[in-house]
Amino acid sequence: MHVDMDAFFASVEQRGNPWLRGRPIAVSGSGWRSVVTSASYQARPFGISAGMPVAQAMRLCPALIRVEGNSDKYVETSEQVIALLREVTPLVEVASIDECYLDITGSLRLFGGAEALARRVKARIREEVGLACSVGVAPNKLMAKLASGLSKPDGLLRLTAEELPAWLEHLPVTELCGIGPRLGAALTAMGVRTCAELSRVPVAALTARFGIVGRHLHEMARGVDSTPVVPTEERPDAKSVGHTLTLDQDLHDREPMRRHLFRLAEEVARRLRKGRYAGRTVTVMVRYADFVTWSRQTTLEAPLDEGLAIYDAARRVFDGLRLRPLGVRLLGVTVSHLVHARDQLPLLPSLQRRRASVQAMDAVNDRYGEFTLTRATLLQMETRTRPISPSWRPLA
Amino acid sequence: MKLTINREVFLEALQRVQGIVERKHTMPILAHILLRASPEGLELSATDLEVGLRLQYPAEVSEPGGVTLQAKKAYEIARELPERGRIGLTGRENNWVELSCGRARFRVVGLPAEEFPELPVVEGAEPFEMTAGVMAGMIEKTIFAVSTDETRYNLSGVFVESFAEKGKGVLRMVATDGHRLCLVDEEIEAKQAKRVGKGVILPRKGLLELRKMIEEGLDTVSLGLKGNSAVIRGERGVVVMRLVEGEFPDYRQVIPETAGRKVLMKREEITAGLRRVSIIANEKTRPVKLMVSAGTLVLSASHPDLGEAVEEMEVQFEGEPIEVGFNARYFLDVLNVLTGEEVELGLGDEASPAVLRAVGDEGYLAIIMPMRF
Repeated sequence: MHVDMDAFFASVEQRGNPWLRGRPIAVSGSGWRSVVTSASYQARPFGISAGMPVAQAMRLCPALIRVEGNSDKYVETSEQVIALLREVTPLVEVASIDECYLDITGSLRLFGGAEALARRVKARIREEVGLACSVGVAPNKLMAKLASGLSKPDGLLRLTAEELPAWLEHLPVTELCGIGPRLGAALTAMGVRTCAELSRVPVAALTARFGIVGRHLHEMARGVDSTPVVPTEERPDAKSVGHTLTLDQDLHDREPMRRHLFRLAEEVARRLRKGRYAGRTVTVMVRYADFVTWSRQTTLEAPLDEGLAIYDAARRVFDGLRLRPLGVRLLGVTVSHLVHARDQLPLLPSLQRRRASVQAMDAVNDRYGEFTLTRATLLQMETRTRPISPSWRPLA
Repeated sequence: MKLTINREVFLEALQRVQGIVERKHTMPILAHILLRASPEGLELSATDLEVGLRLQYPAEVSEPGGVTLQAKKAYEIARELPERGRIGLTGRENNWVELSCGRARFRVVGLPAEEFPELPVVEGAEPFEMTAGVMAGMIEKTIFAVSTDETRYNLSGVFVESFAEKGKGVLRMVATDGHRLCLVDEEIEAKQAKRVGKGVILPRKGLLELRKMIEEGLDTVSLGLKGNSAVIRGERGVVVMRLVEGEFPDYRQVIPETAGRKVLMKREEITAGLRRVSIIANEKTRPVKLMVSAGTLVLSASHPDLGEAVEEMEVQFEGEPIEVGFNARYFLDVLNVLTGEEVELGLGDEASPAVLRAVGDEGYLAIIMPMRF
């Protein structure tokens, strides 16, 4: 079963503010150059969708109401939904902040069948969380996701094994999760548009063109998917922690860029410490006005989880970059090569003090919100908020 | 410049300097070596601006002068030249260097010899002298604790100081990476007690070069200090190093006055036990737990993906039982350089530093901070 919240961020905002209900709204970051992360259903007829720059969305729909994202609210709501779903089955895989896969095989008898269970889930999410979702029920994850997508908004669709061939007969391949526009275009070039057409292409022809993916495509076309639902708590450890920032305007000077890097480093460090991680590789990403993106990294001997140290490394990488004269629109800092918490206690008093001050800062910010207590260097920067990345998952 | 030199001698010389040559290519000249011919023979210099080597080798010089050669290429060429051959080296115009041996001829580009950075000259200062073997032992006992964290520059070398205590001279070396600290003392002649003085930080890379020189058969180490440079004289020439700038932390502050608990154990037993148990603790970040109670020490480690390991051994201990977690690597580094049958472990509580030393060796101690578990 696939549960997908409808226009999640936008619906959360409309739930909390009656005036926004029934109106076209777009949730985005606070800068003018940020992108739409979620658009309400009332905004979608205007052609507004997630990922579109705000300025373009405003042109398409001058009446569009912009709402600054509030990450805490979304995470909180998402956790509420996940908790409800876990009452149905412990096998809940959180795919992102607004969608989950559930293996309900073992719960069918208890809840009187798949459809009854799905209705119950929808009803409870509506009553207790106050939001609409779309639910797809099918023999596997791929088909369940397809079903929830086809039923949107506020829908419920069950695809049985018997009905699958009929559904797939005329379904465009790009409706399948995992076949994006580029793969779709490549398939169209082969004369393949629907799943049925794809399933009739010999496997050998697909593997010759797409390699290992070819075999997978063949199975997808027939509605076959054997990937299991992996409960989120069993997911392997995180591999990296990173943040990016789209700048309000293209920057040419290094000094303001360094300050942004410092802030990004602090944010990354904070998340590392929350997950009790530390990492040895620091990557700096620079995207220019023409969207050409460069990244460079450095690997250190000792794992880091403090903003200042991460910034030091990031700055050394950044200072070694020769910037193109084009102007920079996005900066990112990522820490990878993660190891589990730095539980080694420091011996030197100077390091003990540094550690203690970081811990004190964390304690204050845990209680009063991010950047309540921060470094003086970062004070002059406007404290911009931006919605949480949709790939958010609860920390294990 | 014009000279001839034994292929074996030249190859050895080139091999010796490879470790110094800068690999990051920040300055092209640092990937080169300087060859200077004089009636005394051939002098080779290499430096990365932190550590420099200047070595003298026998050669037949018919025309004095200087050239530079790309260190790695020169080594690769010399290695492939015929054995027991005689190499001719001639400097040509525009920094070209001709290299010939048997029927092989190379013409390679060099850089102007004048562009090669001058190694600092440390003259005048009365050198500190010490038996090479003793010095090598002190380096061995400290160098592993030097920080490799580039952000802690002041910990990137071994702190060396000399002083007089009870009428005797003492040379002390201290190294720390912020989590553990090693300190070794050796007696020196009283008249030398002031020669190193209140302390310098010798860079790790320089000490590794010094150790190499000692291994090559040096009897006495002669260390001269001036300004921010140190020079060590060997048979073939000198190692020059830039002292690490920055202040070494006050190590006396972190040495526990008295340890609450004293555990005596067999060195070989604890070493082997830790090696075994730490296979499971694996990664750098997972602690090995030490549980001490009357007469017994239990080592244990667990890993969520691997499993667990436990080993029990007899020790001499009376007092309150305690459980403390440590990075096993830190213990093993120290145990590997200790001698003698018994080691003494001083423990405070779960969050205080442990002191590890060999019974009967008052001159060496290691302090290790626990891990939370």
